[in-house]
Amino acid sequence: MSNSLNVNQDEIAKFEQVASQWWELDGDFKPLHQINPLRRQFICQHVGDIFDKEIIDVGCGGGILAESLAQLGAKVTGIDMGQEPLNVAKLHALEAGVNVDYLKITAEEQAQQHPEHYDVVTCMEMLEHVPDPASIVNACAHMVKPGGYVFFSTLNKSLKAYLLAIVAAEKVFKLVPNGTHDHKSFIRPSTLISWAESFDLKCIDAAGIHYNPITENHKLTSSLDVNYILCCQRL
Amino acid sequence: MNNSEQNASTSNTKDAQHFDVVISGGGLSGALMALSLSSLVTHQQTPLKIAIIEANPVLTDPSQSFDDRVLALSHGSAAYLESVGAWQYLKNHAEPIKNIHISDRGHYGKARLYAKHHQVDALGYVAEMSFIGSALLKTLATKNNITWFAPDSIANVQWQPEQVNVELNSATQLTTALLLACDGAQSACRKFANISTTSRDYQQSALIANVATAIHHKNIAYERFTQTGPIAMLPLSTLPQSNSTSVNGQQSSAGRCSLVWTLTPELAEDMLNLSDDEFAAQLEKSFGRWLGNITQVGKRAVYPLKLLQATEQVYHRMALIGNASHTIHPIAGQGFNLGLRDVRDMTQVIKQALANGQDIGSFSNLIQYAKSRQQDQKQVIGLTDSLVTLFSNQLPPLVVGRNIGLKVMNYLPVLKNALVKKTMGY
Repeated sequence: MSNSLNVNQDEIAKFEQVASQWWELDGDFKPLHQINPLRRQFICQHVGDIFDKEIIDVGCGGGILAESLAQLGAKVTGIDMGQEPLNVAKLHALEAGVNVDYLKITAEEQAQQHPEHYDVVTCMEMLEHVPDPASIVNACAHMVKPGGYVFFSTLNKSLKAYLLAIVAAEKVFKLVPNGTHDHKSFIRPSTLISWAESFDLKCIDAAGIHYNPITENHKLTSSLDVNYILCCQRL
Repeated sequence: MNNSEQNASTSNTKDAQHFDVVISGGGLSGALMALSLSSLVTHQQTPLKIAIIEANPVLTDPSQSFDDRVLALSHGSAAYLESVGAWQYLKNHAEPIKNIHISDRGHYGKARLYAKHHQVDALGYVAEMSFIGSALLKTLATKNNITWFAPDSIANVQWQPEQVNVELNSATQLTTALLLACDGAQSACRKFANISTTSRDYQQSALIANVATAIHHKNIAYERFTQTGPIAMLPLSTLPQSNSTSVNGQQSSAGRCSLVWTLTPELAEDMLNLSDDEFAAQLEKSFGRWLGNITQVGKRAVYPLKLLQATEQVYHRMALIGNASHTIHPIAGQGFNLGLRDVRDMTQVIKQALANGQDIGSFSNLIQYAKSRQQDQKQVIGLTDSLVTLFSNQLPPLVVGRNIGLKVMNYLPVLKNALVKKTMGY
């Protein structure tokens, strides 16, 4: 079965190794902690009230986004294929007294079992870590209810993204572990949008997530050059 | 908004009283929040129905005592209190700060700030908390859209998509579109929503006391850096007569000041245990002779310098205001001014939603509040942090509380104007 799964074992291994770091606010995942409020803000701007909404976070990792959504009263499921990050996520949710359902399952399988089930699907910083990202986009489109929202964020396939996400973030400032990203897996917004639209999603907004490694300032911008986030609505 | 009173919920809200806004806590920020919202009207031009839940009986006219705790109000805070109609009851009890005098013991540096250079009558004011509270209550008493539940407290909060059900310990049931948590550092609402807090301990303590001095302060606020830590002396009103015992025997008191002395926790503890005479001598030695002898020492209290911040500002149909969201100890000065700006921004967000005929409790409105507060809180709290790190070795951190965050100017003159603005509350 594992051969047919849309999973890159090397990528999983990478995240297993650093799992203990997920909730260290000054650790390897510090940039994620810093941009998380922006991602959540972008989601809430479009969805409005997420209280009581069924949300699934695809590729939830240690649960930074999933837990922050549950914190606002959403009914959140987090799925990932890395066991260690899931363990960390479960433990942290327990400590924080927040209810999140964490499962080890692929997006494709989950979509098969729960078609048109969720009000909101989020898939953040995940597409660049799988062999077949289009298949994930398809699965996300399947899981969401008609009229529901799907959010994707990933890294643009641009020179600037290469310079910032790999050269600066990994090599110079060592913000994230070496080898976190592979530029070949980065996805242009136009590519991602065309995948989404081929699976009955309509892209209704896009924003860039700007992160300055020196000042640690972060904000949503209109430039999709590096890290960007899309909001799609299911037709 | 809540036509479907009964949905599949467990609690019975049939007999519940509905309010547009329920405010948890009737202290300074809760009373100000209610006052600030009391003049808003809904899309149908009707006033908002507001409830306040307060654990203590609502207090009547305060009696003044030498040891009353005071707050520094920035110029902007005073202007806001005026705009909500409360200043008229407070102005005779608020001592203006006309000048600020900054000095550094053993160093050459000295700085002075004058209100008149900034085209204002006062850079800020110092007033007893009890008078601020009573001014707010007097103004609130003139409004007829406020319902008090006091003494009472929240037993349970139940969130539903379209409303919040609030159950009081008196068994009264309330429903509301928006719950505002003005219930202080130990906020019950914050706990019901399971919002966690982060805290930062500055490893410093603030010793607070009111003292009388032989020379009148002439409305000057003093900030003095000493080897033991920064000392702030804020001008207070002179009491009609004081019958407490004086120290140093002979001398009569001309003025009263509020002292905030930032010390290491150990030193603060030592100072607390000194006799009044010994303490006065220590203070004179460190502060200098600017105000002559210390002729009377009031009750001393020590607070650890701590910053407590909620990890979320808003929740479903709920927002944290003032100390419930961020507490900078000792509770005073910037802390209250910052809380007042929470109230101001929340009011603005609700006013906007009402004008547009929107649901005031909707999350998209509440995140507007969270966003607008973020920057301000970051700045003020960042200022505390940077002062702590900048001066942590030689000059221990400054109480952003009542010393009104002004001392940086002495070291970074460029920032002077910007800081005066921030201090004045703009």
